Amino acid sequence: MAVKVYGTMRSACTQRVMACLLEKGVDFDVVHVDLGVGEQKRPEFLVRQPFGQVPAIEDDGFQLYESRAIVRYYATKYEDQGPNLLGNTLEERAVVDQWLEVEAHNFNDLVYTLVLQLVVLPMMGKPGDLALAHTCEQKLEKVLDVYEQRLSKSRYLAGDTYTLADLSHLPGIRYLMNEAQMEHLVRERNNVNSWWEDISSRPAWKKLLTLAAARF
Amino acid sequence: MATPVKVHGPPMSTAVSRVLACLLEKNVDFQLISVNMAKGEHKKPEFLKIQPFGQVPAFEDGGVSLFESRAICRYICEKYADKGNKGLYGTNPLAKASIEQWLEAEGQSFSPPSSVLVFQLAFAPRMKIKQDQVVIKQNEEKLSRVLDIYDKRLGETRFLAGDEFTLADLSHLPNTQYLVGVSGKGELFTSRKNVGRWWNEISSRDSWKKVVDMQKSSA
Repeated sequence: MAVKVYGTMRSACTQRVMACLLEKGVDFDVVHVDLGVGEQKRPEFLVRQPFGQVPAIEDDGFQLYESRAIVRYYATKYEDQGPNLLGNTLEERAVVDQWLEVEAHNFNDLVYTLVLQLVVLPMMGKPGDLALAHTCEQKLEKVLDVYEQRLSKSRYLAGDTYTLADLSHLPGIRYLMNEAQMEHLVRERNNVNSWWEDISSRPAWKKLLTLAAARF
Repeated sequence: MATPVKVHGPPMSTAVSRVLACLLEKNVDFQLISVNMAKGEHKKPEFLKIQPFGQVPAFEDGGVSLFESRAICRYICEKYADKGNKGLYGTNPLAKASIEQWLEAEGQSFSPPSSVLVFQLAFAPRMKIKQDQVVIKQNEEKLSRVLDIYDKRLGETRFLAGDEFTLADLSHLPNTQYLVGVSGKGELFTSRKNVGRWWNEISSRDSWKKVVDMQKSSA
């Protein structure tokens, strides 16, 4: 029975979950939640995700939300299937976790705010706060300088294999480089650029982009 | 013999105290190494070697070096699974998934508005920075909406992830402690029946009381 992913293929957080399931070869169906009409705030959906956000999954009766909790769950459940996204030893897993937390707390907020101000608000016909966007951009430069240094020591964020820590960045960086037109943040950093080229050319990510394009 | 577990950072930091609470719940001995943030010690090269973003805490356990408080807590729970509170991070995959969900809810929904309020109400005055009333109001409203969701959840289960105290509840202790201590804002928690009950329970744990003592004696 396929995992049901309630969300939208355009949402970065839904994409995070999709990327993980595609990497692990786990069957899933995206049950579209129409954010444009506020479907995620309706009582029927709030029963599933009380914060009114996507994604949420349902797997043979088991329900879970928060994309990073969902990817941890599936990376563990299907540890022996597909690439190991978690690391092997306790220490390796802790480092994967560390960089997953960095993405969640040092990277994501800046990207989210930037994309909100430069892309989403204008799309809704509202003015974006350009000064705020610029501040986020400057902070992101400093964060990516740390990534640049890190990626000079290892091929991927948590070590020499691709893990959840790298995967978790895919949706946000794609938005940054495309809709938000911040390609320079990646291209101006050799190691970050090589890393991005590597992770964004993985078959699972390419498959996701095809699925998303077909949907819209 | 020097204790292999070291936590770098001041106990008054919310992220540092999250790690301290976890170590105490797990009965893991540790050494607390102070970091003088007022003097910018956390931005200096020696510190950046162990935490390249210049934030606290940084953590060492023998040869293992980690940062990000929630990652450190998970590591402590996994490494010292048989010590102290054994159910803190769940004892089966489904229990763990629920804990992860609420740990993420803490990080993504609870922490942003509550951290802003902690800074504005508890730290800004100490640092002689002017408070921003608009920001305070906006974040109080955001936090109120989040706590409404928590109140409903805590009417269904005793703790966030289920009927046992877990890492998910623990993660909320640091910010809530500051907000409850600031006059007028404690009501955000205590005026909500289930949230109030939950806060009383989790904050009366011996481990948290010890952390609060550590904060007071280092102030």
